[in-house]
Amino acid sequence: MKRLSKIFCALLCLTLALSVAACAQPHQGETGDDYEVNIDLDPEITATLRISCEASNDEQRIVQYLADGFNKYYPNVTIEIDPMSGDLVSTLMGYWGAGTMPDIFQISSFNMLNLQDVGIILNLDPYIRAETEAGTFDVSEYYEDFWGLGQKDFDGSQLMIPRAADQVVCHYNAKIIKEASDWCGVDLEGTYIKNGWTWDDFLTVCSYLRDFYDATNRSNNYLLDGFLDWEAVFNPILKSFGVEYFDEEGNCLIDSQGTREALELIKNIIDLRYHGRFSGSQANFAGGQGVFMFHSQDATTQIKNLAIANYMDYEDMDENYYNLVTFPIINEEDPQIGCGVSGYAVSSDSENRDVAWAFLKFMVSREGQNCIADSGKNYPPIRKDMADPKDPENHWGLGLECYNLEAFTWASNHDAISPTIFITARPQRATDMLDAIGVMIGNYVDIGYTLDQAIARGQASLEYWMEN
Amino acid sequence: MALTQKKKRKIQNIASGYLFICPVLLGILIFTYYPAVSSFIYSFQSYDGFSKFEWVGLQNFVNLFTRDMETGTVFANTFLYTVITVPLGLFLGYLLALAANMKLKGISFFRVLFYLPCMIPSVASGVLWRDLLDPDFGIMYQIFSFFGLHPTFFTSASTAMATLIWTTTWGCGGGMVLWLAAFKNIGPELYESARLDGANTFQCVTRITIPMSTPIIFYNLVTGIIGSLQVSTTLVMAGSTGGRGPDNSLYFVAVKIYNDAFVRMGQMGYACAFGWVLFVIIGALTFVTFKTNKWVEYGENHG
Repeated sequence: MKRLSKIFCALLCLTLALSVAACAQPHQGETGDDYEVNIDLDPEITATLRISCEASNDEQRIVQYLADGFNKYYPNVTIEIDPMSGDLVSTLMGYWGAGTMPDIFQISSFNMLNLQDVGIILNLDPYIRAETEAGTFDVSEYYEDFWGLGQKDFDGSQLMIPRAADQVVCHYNAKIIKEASDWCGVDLEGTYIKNGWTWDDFLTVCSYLRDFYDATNRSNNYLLDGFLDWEAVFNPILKSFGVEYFDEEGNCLIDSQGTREALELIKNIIDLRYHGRFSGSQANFAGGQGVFMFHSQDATTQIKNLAIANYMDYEDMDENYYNLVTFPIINEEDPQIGCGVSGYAVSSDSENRDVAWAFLKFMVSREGQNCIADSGKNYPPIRKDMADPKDPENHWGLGLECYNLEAFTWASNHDAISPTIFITARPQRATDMLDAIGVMIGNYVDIGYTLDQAIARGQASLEYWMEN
Repeated sequence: MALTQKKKRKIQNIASGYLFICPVLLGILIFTYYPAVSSFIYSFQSYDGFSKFEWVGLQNFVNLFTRDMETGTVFANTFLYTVITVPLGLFLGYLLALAANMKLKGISFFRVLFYLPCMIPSVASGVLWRDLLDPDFGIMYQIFSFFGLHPTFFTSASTAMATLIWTTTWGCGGGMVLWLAAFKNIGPELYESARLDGANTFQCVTRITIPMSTPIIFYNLVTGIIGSLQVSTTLVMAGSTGGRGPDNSLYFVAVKIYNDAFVRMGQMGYACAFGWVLFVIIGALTFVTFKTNKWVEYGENHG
């Protein structure tokens, strides 16, 4: 027993020593912006590139199609896809701690902002500089608003390469709209629903639809899955009323008339039973019960969902069953449409960063953007020269010619993109600041606080997270 | 010098003993003590979970009690939850065990039925409850609506905690099994003697069954306190609010630790400090519970 105790104590001491040693020797990557780069890769280069992406089949298929396209130019580069399930930050912490970071990892613009200062993301500016000097890359080919979402604080060093120009659109169930039109004798789709339509148009259509639902034994059904608690939806609503969150000194400005009007607008569509509670998606658009959905998801996914809901084959679906239009414009003088992109970053400790850059450069080329579309995801390309979905050279519109895919590029072409910039005031607390706004709206809309109470608490939270 | 046969056998015995305990020992050291010691060290650092390590002494602990506006809320919620669910779980588990201890035809089926919820992983049951109580599509809401009631369940700060406590009764079959085992250990001669002395069923329960099963009550009490202080199922049930519930009404210590560690960047060291504070509180409460266990009847040896 004594011997066992001694061994146990020795092992415990060893554990303690290892823990201390591990805590004292942090793993470091390349965090500067003046490292050496090689943009003239030998096409015969042999390397293994590990790419982590979300674990869904769709995401893995995107990377696989990109890998197949990339391998045409670099046949000896082996690309291993490493799906990440669960929470991104904790997964990356595990990789980083174990020294097994992938060369490239998928990341959203929001998560990039969160992780921009922890030293795991390679600053890609040296590559962009070198490519620009060599005339082999031109950032002006990409939508500036979206390209910026891959930058530190959304306007600094390039940390992530966005893969698409995802913006919030209004998906709609064309079949229900047509039924409602027949019922009320008004051509709702032809009269109101078109790119650039206004919030008043939207409310008018909703009014007809609400009556139609109530008259057809669907009074318990809502019309809209608005994802109102998502910043890409609530932020443009607030911005449409001129809301500013902070001034240059970091003082909170949320207590304003604009905030009150925005909250009233949100509460209005809930009180009118167009939308369920503030949080959640109770209209069940995907199941064919709701009429509208505000989201940036691709059209193909919606068509598949509605095909199932209508007991139809995907191939038989057309604009009579599903279509999409721009997010309703609240303020015509200053249109605001939300966005948020996914993209890929290179690990700061990657030993294959030159190959990783070559892969990302391929991804944003015309061919790479078409690879993404060929994988089955018709995301709007980040390239300006691929905006036209009807051009057969741009694969993102192939097979979807009957749908209004132009809704996906309308905001980009009308200077209406509204990124959630205010969280750059304190990127480390981006989640908390977004929560503060979400809770503020929920407190008024769902919980029953007065406007003053809800805004006062929202302001207190924002001020707290700016300082803590 | 050649070892004698006896010494060889002794060494073999010792070696094989160590080999047998080695997996467990290594498992404990690697997966329990190593993270525990590491987190203790991190709790004195400003650590972001990646590369930034900066020694800050007791600052994390000071911030926890002086600057963090969420500390009071999470501790209040957690203690409220503990104070209600632990006695409630004990009581309901005990009632279930008494019912399941009856000698009735088919009682085994009911024992399985009572215990079944405990076999469902907490994440799965969390998802289940969330869907059952969904205020739009949940079957519970439909049932309540049928009677003209429109409960808000997890969507209102005023009802979220009560709803969560209600859902915890789902797992009271776990304690039932232990109590059943305790009941089986109570000698039938005690009941026979009591019956001869004219005791009725109620007296048998209060004078024999309960006193003789106090070790299990004590065990369930300690594990219940520990478990309820670490509750984190709201991460699933109230996922849309980051596990905090409406207006932070379901924001528990364990949820905050998770949020600080993995959602808020740069707070891993602080989360570790919070974890150690929770550990100390749990340890203190467990210590107090042990120190006040005079009411526990350990049978003939301690009677």
